[in-house]
Amino acid sequence: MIKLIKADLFRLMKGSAVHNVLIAGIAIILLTGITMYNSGSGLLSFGVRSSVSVVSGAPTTGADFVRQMRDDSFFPFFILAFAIAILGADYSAGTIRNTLSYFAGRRSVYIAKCITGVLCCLAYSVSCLVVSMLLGVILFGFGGFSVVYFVRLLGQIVLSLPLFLGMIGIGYCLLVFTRKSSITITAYIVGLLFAPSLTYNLYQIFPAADWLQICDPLSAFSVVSRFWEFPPLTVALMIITWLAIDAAVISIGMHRYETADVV
Amino acid sequence: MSESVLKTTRLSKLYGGRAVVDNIDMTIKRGEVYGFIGKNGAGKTTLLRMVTSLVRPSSGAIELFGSPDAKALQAARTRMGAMIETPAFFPKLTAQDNLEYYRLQRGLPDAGEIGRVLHSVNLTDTGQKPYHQFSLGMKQRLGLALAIMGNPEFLILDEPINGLDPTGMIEFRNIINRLHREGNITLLISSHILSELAQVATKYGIIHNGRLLKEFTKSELDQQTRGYISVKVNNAPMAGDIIREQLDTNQFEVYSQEEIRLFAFFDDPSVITSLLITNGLRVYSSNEVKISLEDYFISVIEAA
Repeated sequence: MIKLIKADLFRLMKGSAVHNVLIAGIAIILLTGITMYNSGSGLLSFGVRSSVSVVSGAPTTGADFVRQMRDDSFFPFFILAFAIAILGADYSAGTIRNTLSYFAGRRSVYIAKCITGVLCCLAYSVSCLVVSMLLGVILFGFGGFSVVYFVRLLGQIVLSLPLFLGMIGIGYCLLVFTRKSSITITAYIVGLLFAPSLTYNLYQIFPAADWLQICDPLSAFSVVSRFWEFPPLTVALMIITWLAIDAAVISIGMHRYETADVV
Repeated sequence: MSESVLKTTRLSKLYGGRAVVDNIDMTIKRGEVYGFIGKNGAGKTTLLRMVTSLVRPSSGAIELFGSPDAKALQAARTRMGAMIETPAFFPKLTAQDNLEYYRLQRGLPDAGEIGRVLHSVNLTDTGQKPYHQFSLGMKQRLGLALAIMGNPEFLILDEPINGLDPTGMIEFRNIINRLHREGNITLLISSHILSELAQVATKYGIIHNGRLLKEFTKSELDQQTRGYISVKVNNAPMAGDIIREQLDTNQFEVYSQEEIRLFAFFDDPSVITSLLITNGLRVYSSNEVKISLEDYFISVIEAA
């Protein structure tokens, strides 16, 4: 399986898709940081911050800037780009034939591609973290950084893993059923936009389960970026929900990948 | 008896209740170049896809290198190289990078393997050119390079010469002949360009409507396609009488007033010409007319 991951990482390094996503993420941080620095008023017209972050106002310290940049509402969309680059390219180029005619163990291939996807998400997350830290320190100074702060950042990355896996799994699941990147992109984006209303309606049916409201991808990423502000049980239930989503989408996608004829 | 490399037993594939491959029993032995012949849609590619695990059989069994079970079959597939239909590679990567991807994926330790296979298919000078800028012939050769990476013992090539120009066909044929001769690779080649297949194959199988109609060796094919000896004379009916009376055979046909066709005497046709000349006939020409593989293929299909 390591061989498969190594090969996919080699290909992604040679290709442009992952580079472009990284550049886009970093560019957004740079532009947002400069806009924030220049405005100073907290009324920002451009950036990656969620509406909650905007309400919290312009950052006053480097640490505050990094925290706001962690609430990256573009990221769920960028994960789709990783899924398309890793698995979608296999379908669109037809290279899936080369791989599966050699590796009859399709389960290993699928799991390797899931791991590669999560590694890409981690690379993006860490790269953006490093850039936002550098920019935050340059623009807003060293203030706010502490041991607790770094532990929270680490916790945020760890808690993001089920979300990374889930979103990659959803992308792959759509790909193995549709075998078309274009349909996958449409379905994924429509799903992302409609998920909040779905979770809200579920919450209406089960009013006791208020954590359902934060289980849609965009809310979940936002919550994870500042998980310490929420009740631990709520965060735990949201993560458990995402682990269940991971298990469901990966097993459905893998079953399809294993059994489907490659024509 | 030589080891069987591929053996299928009652192998079938059904799509929507219709058998695309219907109970095929096929055996390929080590060292053979198996020419798999069939019209478009006959079931060739579906069978090859089943052998390469791209398509799941509806029923029947596949044995590779004598693999006794599914796990062994899975392991045996790593001893096989394949090019199914049009070669597929990542369009923006170079030949070198595309092959490096598969070398890493397959865990081949020798980085020099890429140079070796590119050299084998005469594709060493593509430099930084991305795959999408390759000509069809270059794409086919890169597909073959991938198929032979890691020195497979068994090579499956599905329509490898489709779309190639005459020069490309000759080059591809030479590469395949060299691989078979020097690498002692067992090959399964499907094609509907029979004239090309006839120049490389040592055994043939004809598939039609999903059924394997016939298997035969090259020497059996030579026997079947021997054709006849056409002898042009000034009086063919008289020549027929002379042959019947003096050689006591009916293995001929008086085709026209000036042509007689013999279905024997292939080893020494001069027996006939000498006889006719001795009996006062004038012999204008005598030559052997062979039946082509195409004609033979059509006759087998029509008989089915």
